Amino acid sequence: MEILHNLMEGFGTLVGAGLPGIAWWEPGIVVVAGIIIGIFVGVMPGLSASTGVALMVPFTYGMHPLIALILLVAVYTASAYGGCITAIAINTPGTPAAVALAFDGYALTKRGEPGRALGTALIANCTGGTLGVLILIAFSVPLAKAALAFGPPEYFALAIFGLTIVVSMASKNMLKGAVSTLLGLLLMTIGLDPITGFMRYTFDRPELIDGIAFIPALIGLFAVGEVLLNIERMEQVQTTLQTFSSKMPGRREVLALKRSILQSSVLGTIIGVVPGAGATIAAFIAYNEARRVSRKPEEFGKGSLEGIAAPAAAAGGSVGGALVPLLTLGIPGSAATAVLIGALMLHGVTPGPELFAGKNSYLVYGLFASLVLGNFVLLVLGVLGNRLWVRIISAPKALLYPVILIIAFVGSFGVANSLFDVLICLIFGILGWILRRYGFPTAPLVLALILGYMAESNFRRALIMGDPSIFFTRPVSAVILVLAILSFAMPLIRLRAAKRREPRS
Amino acid sequence: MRMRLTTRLLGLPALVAAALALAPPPTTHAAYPDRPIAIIVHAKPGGAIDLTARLVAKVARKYTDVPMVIENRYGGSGAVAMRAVLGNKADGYTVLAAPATFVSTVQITRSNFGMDDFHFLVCLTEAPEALITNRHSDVVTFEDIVADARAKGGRQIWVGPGVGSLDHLMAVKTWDQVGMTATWVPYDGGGEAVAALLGRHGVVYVGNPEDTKGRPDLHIAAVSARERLERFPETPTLLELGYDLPDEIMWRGFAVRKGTPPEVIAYLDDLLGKISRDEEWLSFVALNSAKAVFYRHDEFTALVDRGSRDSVKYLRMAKILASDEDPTGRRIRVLGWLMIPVTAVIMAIVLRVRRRRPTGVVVVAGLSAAVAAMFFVLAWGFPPPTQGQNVGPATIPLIWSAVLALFAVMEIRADLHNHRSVEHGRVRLVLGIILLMVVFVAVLPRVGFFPAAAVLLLGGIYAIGYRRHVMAAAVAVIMLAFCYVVFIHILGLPLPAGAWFH
Repeated sequence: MEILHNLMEGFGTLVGAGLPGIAWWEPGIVVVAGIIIGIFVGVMPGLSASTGVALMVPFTYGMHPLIALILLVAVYTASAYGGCITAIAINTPGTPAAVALAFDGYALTKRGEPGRALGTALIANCTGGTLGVLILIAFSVPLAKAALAFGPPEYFALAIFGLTIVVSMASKNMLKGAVSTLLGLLLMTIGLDPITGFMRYTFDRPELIDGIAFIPALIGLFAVGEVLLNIERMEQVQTTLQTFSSKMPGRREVLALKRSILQSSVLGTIIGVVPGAGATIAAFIAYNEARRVSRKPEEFGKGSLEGIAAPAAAAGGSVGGALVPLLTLGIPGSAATAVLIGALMLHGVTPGPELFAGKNSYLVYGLFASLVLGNFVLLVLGVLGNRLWVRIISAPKALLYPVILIIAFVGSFGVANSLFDVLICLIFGILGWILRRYGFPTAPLVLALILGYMAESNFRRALIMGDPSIFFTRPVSAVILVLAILSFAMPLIRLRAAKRREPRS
Repeated sequence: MRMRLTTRLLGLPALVAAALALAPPPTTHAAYPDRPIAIIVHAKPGGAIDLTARLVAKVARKYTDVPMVIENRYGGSGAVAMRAVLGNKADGYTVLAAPATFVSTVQITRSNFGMDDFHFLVCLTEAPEALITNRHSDVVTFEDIVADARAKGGRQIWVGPGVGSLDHLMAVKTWDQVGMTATWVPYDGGGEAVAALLGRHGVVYVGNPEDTKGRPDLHIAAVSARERLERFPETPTLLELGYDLPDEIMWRGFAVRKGTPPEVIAYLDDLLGKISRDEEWLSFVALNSAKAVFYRHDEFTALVDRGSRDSVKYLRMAKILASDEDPTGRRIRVLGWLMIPVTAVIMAIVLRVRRRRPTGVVVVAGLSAAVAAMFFVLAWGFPPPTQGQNVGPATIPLIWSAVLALFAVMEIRADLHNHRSVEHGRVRLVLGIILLMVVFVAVLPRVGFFPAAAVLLLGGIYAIGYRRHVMAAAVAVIMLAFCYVVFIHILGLPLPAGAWFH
């Protein structure tokens, strides 16, 4: 009941009941503007949610704190969906969290049904986003307490758990998947050692001190690699224009996904609460879990709607999750919320538990309401935008591919304004093409790039805190590690059993 | 096929030549400043120093006609940003936003430049360093910290952002002064470190006293200041506790490359002076958890020099800087590089014995094995774990590279036993596109983004075989206009525009 009350109060705040300095129409306009900007931020590879929010901060200097907060959070909310669009349409995840979406989303696009994939992602994302907010309102205090129990051993366990997904990504050829994963993990050790500051494998290049920039590598592997692969396989005659349908998924199809969406939203929110874990890991774990419980796991990777809904819902849910530690502890739950904290401070508002009780409590409830409103607006704008995206990818490939290459390079440059990153994007693009050409999957490599640093830095931190038994004497870490081992072993055992059966039939 | 591709790619040098022909007109010198001044920031957008620089740029609009634009060049804990400033002319159009951490950055990254290469203009903000504890743990006051440290004998855990950071050095200095030992566990940022303190994964957090704002569970055990802070009158200073740490501060200021003309420096000094007295600026600094100050060149330089001396001493104490270079390091580096030809030779012998021609899969797996072997050997040159710890910088690379080599060899074996051929498509066309991209990346810094992008766009469109000229030109123009409006105009991305645009 309290949830409803808080939410109603928030909506009251939104329409400006009794707030001096805000016109009644202002919040609505700002939400719409924020959502549009956010979708754009997500669509552009290289512009992450945190960069997008940061770039908006200077525009909010003169605004009322509530309006500023609504704008920034709307950008944050929508960028999660924006990243899904490019992942589905051109196999180029706009944000790291959307990597897991490219597997099935792009498979559907190749079948000529991008509309179904985009629609599923949109509905799942908005549902996840809304559920995430509801969980945020109802359980933020206990969730935040639980998140604090996450120390280095638990983060290490979480990273290992995240890595288990490579088993399902590489089910076609385990050995090649393993080579790809290890290559990514090894490349991730380039740069300053996280604990002692020793420079490893930097070969005296200052650009390598922080290691290989992850986003340019991701853009290279996916966008550039995909373009090269498609050009190679393109028909000689250019007249075979593929027709793409912008048809949305039917109501029945969506209802069949409810379990997958619900499970992934909750997972996404909970993982989003843990500071530093974030949307990317949430999306991967949700994908893997959805596959594990699915009735049709064999469809995953070939255009399964569940495989699209799960990561999209998790990414949506993680937004609400990441706000939990921000509001209850004053600690950022993700890179984008870290920027949010800075922005709030500039408006004289200190995020943290005192926010709920003090004179600024209206901000919290206004924020809750604007999140719900934002997800609704996103749904509407997303449906409208669906046709546009399908239109764009229906353009002749000869025009589309060079444009994708330019966007990939500009996006890589934009991450750190570095020409070296453009080079990284090119190198990983060529690497991606070669790997894929010879049947080495690139997704495990990307996953390893994402999780390699998290695994190593927390492994090392944990071993400073105690001896190796620490991973199994702490309950949370032990449970996650056991789950990870099961998750590694089960598909392998099943695969072996299936192989044994095969020759007989 | 070969002919057609050759003619297709022949257009390429012509396009490059055309791009180069649009060469820059020689620039004429007018009074400084006659074009935008770039402020180079080493942190990502949204960080404290980024927000500070952005506000300086905003307030500067009131006092000067030319805009100041922020360029975020992060990487290497600031080494990339410093090099960006030193890589430009000493003409005052590239200003460095410099935080106190840079003095140890140049040491840790063993850079070939130093703080001497900069002229420090003005220091605008400072914040004292504080030791912060968790109110709900057993260790709250400074006396608690010392007693607990003695009881744990070096295993007490201190947390904070980064290794060799200002906060890390503050910890080392405190241990040195008190005569205690403890362990530093670095996190990837202040927020993560605070979370670790709240979750009791560490006992002391080192940072800004204002980090306790809005977090009632945190307690400031002691602060480094000459007198008690106005905002925290209860908090003792380290000085009154009997330790000689009166002014450990996090400062933020601005610098230019040494050799900048005096009239330019005078202009920037004057501008920053006006900003430092501006109402909007003062109210911002208070909100951004720092104190507004105004240290001119001499005072600022003294601050930097003291920081440099300290950082060398305490980085050595923290064993981050080795006192001398390890002589075996060079030999291991040579051996590491040798692993690539060695692996190639082994592969060639294996293929000869098996009478197989190298397939793509074997080449890819072989290259992976070569990289693994190289990384494995190079890791032996890394420093051993710190005393009392089992794992060091080499541990994880050794594990990953050994496992990678194992899997790569298994993959090669599997492929030799059971080879499936790969479908070949239009490989020449792909190689052509790769060549176009290489040209794009190579000429980008010289001719600028727009000519280079035009070459890649049109070259790509025609190479793939599209022949509707009007449409191709329209797409190129729209795309470039889009890049200009969105990336350069709205987002302020400093795409290399080439000398042509200045």
